[in-house]
Amino acid sequence: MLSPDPEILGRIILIQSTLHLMGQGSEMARFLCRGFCRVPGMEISGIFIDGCLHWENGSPDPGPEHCRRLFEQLTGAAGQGPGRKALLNGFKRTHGVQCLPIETALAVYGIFFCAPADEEMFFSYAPYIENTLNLAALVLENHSQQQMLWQHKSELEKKVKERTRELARSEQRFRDLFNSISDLVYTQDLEGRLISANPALHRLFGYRPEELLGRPISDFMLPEHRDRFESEYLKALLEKGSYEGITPYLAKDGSTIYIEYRSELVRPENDAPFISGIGRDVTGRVLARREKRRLEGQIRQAQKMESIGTLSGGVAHDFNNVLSIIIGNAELAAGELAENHRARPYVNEIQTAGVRAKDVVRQLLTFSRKTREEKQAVDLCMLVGEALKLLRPVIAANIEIRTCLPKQPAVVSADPTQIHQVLINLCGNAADAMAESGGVLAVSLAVAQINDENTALDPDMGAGRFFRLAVKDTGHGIAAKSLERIFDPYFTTKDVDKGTGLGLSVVHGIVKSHGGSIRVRSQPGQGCEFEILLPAAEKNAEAVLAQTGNVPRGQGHILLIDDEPMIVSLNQQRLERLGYRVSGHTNPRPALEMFSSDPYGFDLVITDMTMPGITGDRLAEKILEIRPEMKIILCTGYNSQISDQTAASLGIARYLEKPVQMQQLAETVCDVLSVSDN
Amino acid sequence: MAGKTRKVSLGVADEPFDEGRHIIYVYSDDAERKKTMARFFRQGLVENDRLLYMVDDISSAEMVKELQELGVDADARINDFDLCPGHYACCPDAYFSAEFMLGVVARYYQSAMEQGYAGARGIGEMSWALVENRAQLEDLLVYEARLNRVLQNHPLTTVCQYDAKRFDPAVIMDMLTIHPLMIVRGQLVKNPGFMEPERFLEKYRSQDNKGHA
Repeated sequence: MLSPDPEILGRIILIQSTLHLMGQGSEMARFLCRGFCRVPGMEISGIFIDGCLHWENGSPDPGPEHCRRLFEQLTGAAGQGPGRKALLNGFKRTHGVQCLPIETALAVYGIFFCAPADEEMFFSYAPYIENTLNLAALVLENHSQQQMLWQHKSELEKKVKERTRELARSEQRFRDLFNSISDLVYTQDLEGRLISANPALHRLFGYRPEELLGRPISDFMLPEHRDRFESEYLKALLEKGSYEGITPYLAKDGSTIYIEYRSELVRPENDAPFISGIGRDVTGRVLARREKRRLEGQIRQAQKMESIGTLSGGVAHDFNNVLSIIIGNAELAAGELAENHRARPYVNEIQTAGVRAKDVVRQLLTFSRKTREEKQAVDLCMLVGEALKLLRPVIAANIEIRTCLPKQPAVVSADPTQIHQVLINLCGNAADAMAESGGVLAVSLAVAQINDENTALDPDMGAGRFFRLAVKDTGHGIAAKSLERIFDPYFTTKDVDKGTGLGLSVVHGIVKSHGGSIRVRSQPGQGCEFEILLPAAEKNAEAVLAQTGNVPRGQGHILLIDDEPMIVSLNQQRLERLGYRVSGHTNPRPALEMFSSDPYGFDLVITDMTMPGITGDRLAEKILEIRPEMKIILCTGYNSQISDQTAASLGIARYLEKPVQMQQLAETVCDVLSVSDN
Repeated sequence: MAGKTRKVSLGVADEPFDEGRHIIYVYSDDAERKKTMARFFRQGLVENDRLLYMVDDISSAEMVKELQELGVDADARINDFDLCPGHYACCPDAYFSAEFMLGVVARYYQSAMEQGYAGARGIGEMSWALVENRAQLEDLLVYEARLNRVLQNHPLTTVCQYDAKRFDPAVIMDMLTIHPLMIVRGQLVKNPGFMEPERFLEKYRSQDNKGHA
C-alpha cells in the first residue's frame, strides 16, 4: 500500500480540528467535500446529509433519490446486522460508488459517496477519511443534542417568559386592585411600622406615602389609645395571629377618623413574617351611631319627662286643692288673731310653708314643662335669700355659705319659680362639688352696666343695665374638656344615680329665655364660678313692693262653684269678709239651674275647672249662652289646656291657678268687677 | 528590517512565539471569541505592543466598553489602542485592495516602532468582506497569502477572525490552508494543513480553472 501524502494528511487533520465549527449539516457536507477533494485516487460523488445530496460537482452521481432510499434503509431494519454490509456493497455494485456511513453508535447522520479512481491509493487514505466521518458524526450528534437542548431550553425560556408575563399581569392586576380599592389595605412589620399602604389609606389620612411608610401606625392614634397598641394589638397578633377592632386615628388635618380593621400575622415560608390588614373608614357610621344613641337617650328622657309631667299634672291638681285649703284657712286664722297673739307666728309659718309647697308643685310642673312662664317684676335679692334658706338644711355642715347682695332690690322681669330653679341648681351643684372636703359657697349679686366696650358674656346681648349673679364654690373644679359641653343636655360628670345631666341645660335655657347669658369659669382643683347676667327690669323696686299692698274689698253677688266643699267654704268666707255676697255650690248642675233661674241676680261667677258631671269651661259656656256679658273667673289645680288666652277666647274674664291666696283672689275679683262696672 | 526575532507571549498559548505570526481564528461562539480576544490584547499591553483592533459591527466606544468588560484596561490605555472599522483599513475606495491593505500592515508596524513600542499586534474581523461586491475571494486569498511574506519584515502579529456561521465553509477551508497558525477552541496551535502561499495559489488557480472548464 502507498504511504499517504503528509500534506493531505495535514489537511485531513485540519478538517478534523475545525469540524466542530460547522453548525449545520449542509455546511459540514460542503466543508468535508472541499477538504477531501484533494485526496488522491478518489472522486467525491457527494455527501448525503439532512435529506440532501451535497457537492454539485460530484461524479459519478448516485442520484439523490437513490441516496435517500439507501439512507432510509441504513437507518431502518435493513441497515442493522449482517444485512448492512450487503446493502452497502449492493449499492456500490449498482451505482459504482463507495458508501461510507456518517454514523455514531446511536444514529446514522449521513452517507459519504465516492468513486475510487485508484483503489490502492484511495485505501491508503480510507481509514483517515472514515475517522474524520466518524468525528463529523459525533459533531452532528453533539449539534443535534445541543439543538434539542437548545429547543428544550428555548421552550423552557418561552414558558418562563409566559409565566413571568402572567405573573407580571397578575401582579399588575393585584397592584391595580390594591391601588383602586376604596378600602384600606396595608402591611406592617412586627413592630407595627407600615411597610405598604394603598392610596385609599394615604388619602384618608391626608399624608404622602413617604410620610406614612416606615412609621408605626400608633403615631397616628389618639394619645389615649397609644398604650393599647403594643399591649393589645401587637400582643394579640403575635399570640393569636389576628386582631380586629375599631380605632380612632388622627388625620393630618387634625380630624378624627374611625377605622374598622382586621390585621393578620403572615408567616411566609422563605421570608420574614409581617402583618397584613384591611380596614374601612367607619367615621360616619360611628358618629351616626353615637348621635343615634344620644337621640335615643333624649327620646327616652323626653318620654320619662312626659310621664312625670302627666303624673305631676294629676298630682298637682289634688295637691293644689289641699294647699288652697291650708293656705286659705291659715289666712283666715291669721285674720282672726291679734298681732301679738302667741299663735300668730305659727299660723304665719303655716302660710309660708303652704306657699313654699305651692312653689314646689310649680317647680315640678316647670321641670316637666307643664306650666307656663309667668314673668313678673321680682327682686333677685329676695329670691336668692329664699333659695339659700331652702338649701341650707340640705347642704353639708362643712360648707359655709357667704352672700354679697345689694341693699337695694335687684328687680328683674322673670318667672320667680324659674329663677328659683336656677339658683337651686347652681347652688346644689356647688354643694355637691364640695361635699367631701367642704368649702365656701359664695353667692353675690351686683349691678352691671354693659356697653359696647364692656363686652357682655354673650355677643348677642345688647347693651344696657344688668344684674350680675355669681355662684362660686371652692370644690374640685371642672376639666377644660368638660367645660365645653357643660350646658349640653344630658351631659354630666356625676355618677349615674347622682344627676340627670339636665340641670345646667335647664339653667342655660331659663337664663336665655330671660334675655340673659351665663358663663362658667373653672380649673381642676380650683373651684368653679357661674356668672349670670339678667337684664334689669324697667319697673322699679317700689312697684314690686307695691304689689303686696292692702287687700281690696268690694260688693256684689258671686256664684261660687267647686266640687271640693272645703274650698267652697274657704273662698266663701274669704269673699264674704271682703264684702261680697256669695252663693256657694259643690255641684255645678244645681249652680247652673240657680243661675238660669235668675241670671241677672249675679255679678260674678267663680268656678273650678275640674268637676264631676260638667267641667268649668263647659259650665262657663252655658252661663255665657244665658248671659253673654257675665263675668267668670275660672280656677284650676292644674290644667295644661287652659291659659289666659284660651280662657279669654271662651269669654272667661280671668284664669287663676290654685292655690289662690287671699290677696290674689281679692285683687282678681276686684279687677274683674271694676271692669264690669266700667 | 527585523534583526533578532522577538519572542512574545500571545495570551492564547502557553509557550512564546516569534512575533509577526499570521494566525487564523475561525469561531462560531461569540463569547469564546471575546474571551480569546481579551487574552490576546491583555498580553499585548503587558508586552508593550501597540494594539490594532478592526471590527465592523460595533462602534469604537462599544469596542472600548467591550474590552473593559473583558478585563482589558482599554480606557486607561486607550492611547495604546487603534480601534477602527475593518473596511476603513481594507477598502480605501469601497473595494478591497490587497496592495493597500498590505501597505497598511507594514506602515502600522513601522509607526509602532517609531513610537517606541516593543512590537505590535492586531486582530482583524474579516466579516467586512461578506458585503456584496466589496471583495473577490481570490483577492482575499492573494492578500492572506502575501501577508505571510510582509510579516517577515514587519512582524505585526496578526489574527484574522472568520465567523464560521457567516463565511462559506469552502472559503474557510481555503483560508485555513494559508494560515500557518490557527486558534482552535481558544488555543493557538500549528496548522497541520498549512500550505505555502505560492503553492496554494498555484493549486487554487489550477483547480479553479479546472472547475470552470
